Amino acid sequence: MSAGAVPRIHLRASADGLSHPQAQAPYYLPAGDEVRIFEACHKQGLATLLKGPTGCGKTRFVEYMAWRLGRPLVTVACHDDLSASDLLGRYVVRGGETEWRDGPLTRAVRNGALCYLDEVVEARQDTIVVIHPLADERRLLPLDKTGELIEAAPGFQLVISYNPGYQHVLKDLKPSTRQRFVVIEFDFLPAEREAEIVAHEGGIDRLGAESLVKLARRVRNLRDRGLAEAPSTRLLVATARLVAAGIPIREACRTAFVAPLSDDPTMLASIGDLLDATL
Amino acid sequence: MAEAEELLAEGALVATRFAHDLWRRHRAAPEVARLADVRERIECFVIGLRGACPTLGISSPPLQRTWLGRLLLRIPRHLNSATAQPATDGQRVLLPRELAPLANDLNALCRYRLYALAQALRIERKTHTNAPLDRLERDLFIARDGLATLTELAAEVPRLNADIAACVRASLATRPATEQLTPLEQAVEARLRSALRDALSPQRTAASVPAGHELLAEVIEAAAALRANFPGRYRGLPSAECWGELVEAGAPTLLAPAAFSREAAQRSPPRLSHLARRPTPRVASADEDDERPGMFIVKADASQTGVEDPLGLSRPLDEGAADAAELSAALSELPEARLIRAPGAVREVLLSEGRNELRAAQSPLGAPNSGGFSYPEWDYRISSYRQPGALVRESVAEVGDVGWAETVLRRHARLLHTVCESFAELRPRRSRLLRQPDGMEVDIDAYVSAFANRLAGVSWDDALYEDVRPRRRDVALLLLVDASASTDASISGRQRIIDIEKEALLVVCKALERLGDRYAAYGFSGESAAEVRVRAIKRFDEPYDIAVERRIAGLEPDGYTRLGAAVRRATGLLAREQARHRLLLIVSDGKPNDIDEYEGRYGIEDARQAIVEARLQGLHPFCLTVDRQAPEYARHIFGPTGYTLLRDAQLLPATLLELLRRLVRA
Ligand SMILES: Nc1ncnc2c1ncn2[C@@H]1O[C@H](COP(=O)(O)OP(=O)(O)OP(=O)(O)O)[C@@H](O)[C@H]1O
Ligand SMILES: [Mg+2]
Repeated sequence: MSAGAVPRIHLRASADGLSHPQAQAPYYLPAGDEVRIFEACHKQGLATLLKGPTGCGKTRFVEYMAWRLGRPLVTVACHDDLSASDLLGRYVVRGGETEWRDGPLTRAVRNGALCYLDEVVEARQDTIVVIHPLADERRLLPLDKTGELIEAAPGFQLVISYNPGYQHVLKDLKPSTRQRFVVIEFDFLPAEREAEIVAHEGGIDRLGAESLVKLARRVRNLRDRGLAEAPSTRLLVATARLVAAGIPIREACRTAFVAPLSDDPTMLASIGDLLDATL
Repeated sequence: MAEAEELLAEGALVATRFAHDLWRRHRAAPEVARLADVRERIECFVIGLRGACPTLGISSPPLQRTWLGRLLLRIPRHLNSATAQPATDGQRVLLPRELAPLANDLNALCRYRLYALAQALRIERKTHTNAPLDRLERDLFIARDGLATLTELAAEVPRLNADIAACVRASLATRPATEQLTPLEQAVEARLRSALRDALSPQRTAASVPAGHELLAEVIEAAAALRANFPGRYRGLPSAECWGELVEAGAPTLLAPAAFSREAAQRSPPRLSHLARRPTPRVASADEDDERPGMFIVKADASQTGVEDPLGLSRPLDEGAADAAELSAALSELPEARLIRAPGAVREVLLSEGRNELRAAQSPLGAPNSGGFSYPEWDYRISSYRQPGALVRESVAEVGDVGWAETVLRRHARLLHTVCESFAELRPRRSRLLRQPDGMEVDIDAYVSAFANRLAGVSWDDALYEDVRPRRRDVALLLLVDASASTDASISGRQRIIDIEKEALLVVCKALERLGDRYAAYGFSGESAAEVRVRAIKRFDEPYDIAVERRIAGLEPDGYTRLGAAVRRATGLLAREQARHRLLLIVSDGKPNDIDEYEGRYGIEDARQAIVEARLQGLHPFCLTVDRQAPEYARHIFGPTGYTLLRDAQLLPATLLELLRRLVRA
């Protein structure tokens, strides 16, 4: 691997269930002034919603901001079985004694951490409502079970992410949820910068990265022609890593880039045509 | 159809799929490519590289003249070429109907891609608007601008360099011989060739062509200098294929069969023939339609087939003896033809692959005022939707015999039993309901938690059981059953297709009923775009009861299969369901057809588009087809994994089961 022998884990997990920022910054290339806006939100204690297609750097951004703000980070990947207790915590029995165990959200609230709820639409509606009192100016977390009313520690910030892809035609955030958040929109970066990311993260040279990005941008043009999801930066990074591992670039593209995008033979052929014209 | 064939069908299906894939991978690019077949790929290619793609159309080959015609019109031999060139009219990319590979191994698809890209670029460069009208200036302009176009293309997509070079070489090789040319023409020809050679040379990128007005000025000056220095006329020179021609957009063009009346079509199907090039309709001049017959000479003894008069002869209706092919050949020779509408049936339909603007604009497709749901249709020839498209009328299906369902269920008792059992097996693993107030087992987690809560002195609830009742799964299913006339046919001489469909539908409804999933069933048929009939057999929020059974019994074949519109209606109904997995199951006997052009490619492409729309709305469309010929087009419409061949009513439940299984697991 060339230049970018990158530490892929930027945050160290620890026994308290929080990831604490490390000395070295996670690699993040800003797209616009999202860093400044996020910092402002943080300062004002405003909840933040990151909106954008898959693999465009939302998670990475949160990791970076946690590092930059020097706050611990708690990440929860939401799924449709996620219950309120999974977020808040529950009593457990230990040697005849009971013990309350904080859930990830409670932990973040107590410790003034960033709490990142990834793909929040996936969670059930009745789970999502528990974040409501935290997401408005009250910044409170009522714990019915323990009878506590926790005021969020300074530094706590609620961050949720949301991919407005076509899968969620019916799953959507309720307006009452949406309107509690400052929305930061993400999209794929301009070619130059995306190439920089691919070169850095994938560990390949700039020229190779540029041609991969060029291909991706061409294929993204086909979004309206029946391509369900546009090829993401993540997909490019994965392809680049194959290249860095010695797979010829066209081969890497076919397996890691073209094939995951569609099953439709015509669409695949068309993407193949663009591949031929680009690499 | 032999029984043995049936036995083999399954294996053959697998085998041919495999073979198909193999062919797809290993077949070298086919010799000759047809625009109709590669259109989608070309569009995607241009969209990918340029962000958008202008409408693709067919470019007509230049007029073919007999030597007499050439003599009369003084057309020099070097302009009498038979091949269509890529061209643009400033709006559309016009490409030849088919292309062969170039001798210097540039395959046909690559040629198409390159031509399309070059024309798209010319449209962006506004070549058509900027070009001067004087013939000499125009030819010089086209060449200089073409050089600039190719240069830009090569800079933008360096990988195409080799293709461009091959194309330019081919264009150079087909320049006209100079002996017949006047000195002036020879001088211009030398200029054109030098532009082509510039396009070949590696320093091409350095060759700077001024833009817009400067280029125009340069060309006008050059033309004047040429005229001053070389004697002779300038009759024009053919353009080079690598950058193509400029043509005039003209009025909407189409030779439309005026009134394609159904009765007439049924009485004697119109003769079909392909039109090599399409005449432009000409607006009649005021005095043209003299009531008195003019000075045509119509030979009394022969039916009139040849058409010579370019000034608008309405072809005397002949005795019907004329061969459509002959007629189309004759018509193709006309530069323009006047559109004449006459009442009555159409006897010859001349197929032309270009844009059917006129038809699109004027056809009396589903009038929106007549009550029903109007859906646009996808017209592949113009790559966009036609509005208004088809009108879907929804009604409740008619009821049939009371006893039918009972008889069928008795006959299929065993099947029903196994189906219900296997459907039950489909229940999700996590159908355990936790924290129930009552149930078969103790919910350990709930118990521990409640115990801990109690010890801690906080409230605890007594929902401590887990239950294994089937949880309502998040599946909604819509069965869309083809009830067109073709289902009247019997399969293997035993049962009619419609009977197979009906029995399968009944069994599946019964089984679904036990599962408690939300489902609906609709039948469809219809006749023409104005009358697509979708009949509710069971709506989503209707319970299954004897009325539903009777409606299934009452399904009878009639009409045609306008698949796209029916699918769009079903998509609309299913998309309203709030389920996680929504399956649109189409049971059909054959390919889309209707009394109009829906038969054929138009119908297939529209159906394909309807399926794409359904997918984009998060539905899972799937087709069970009874047509053995299906794989050819079904693959195109539904995608390689979107359909399966159904031979027997018994197989429908099993296939459905497999589908649901896939769906829920996914
Ligand atoms: N702006 C960026 N700076 C640095 N790396 C980036 C950036 N954008 C994308 N990446 C790269 O893309 C990969 C995917 O990004 P990330 O995981 O943050 O996507 P995401 O938006 O969270 O996607 P999803 O919605 O699927 O969770 C990262 O691992 C990183 O390598
Ligand atoms: Mg993420």
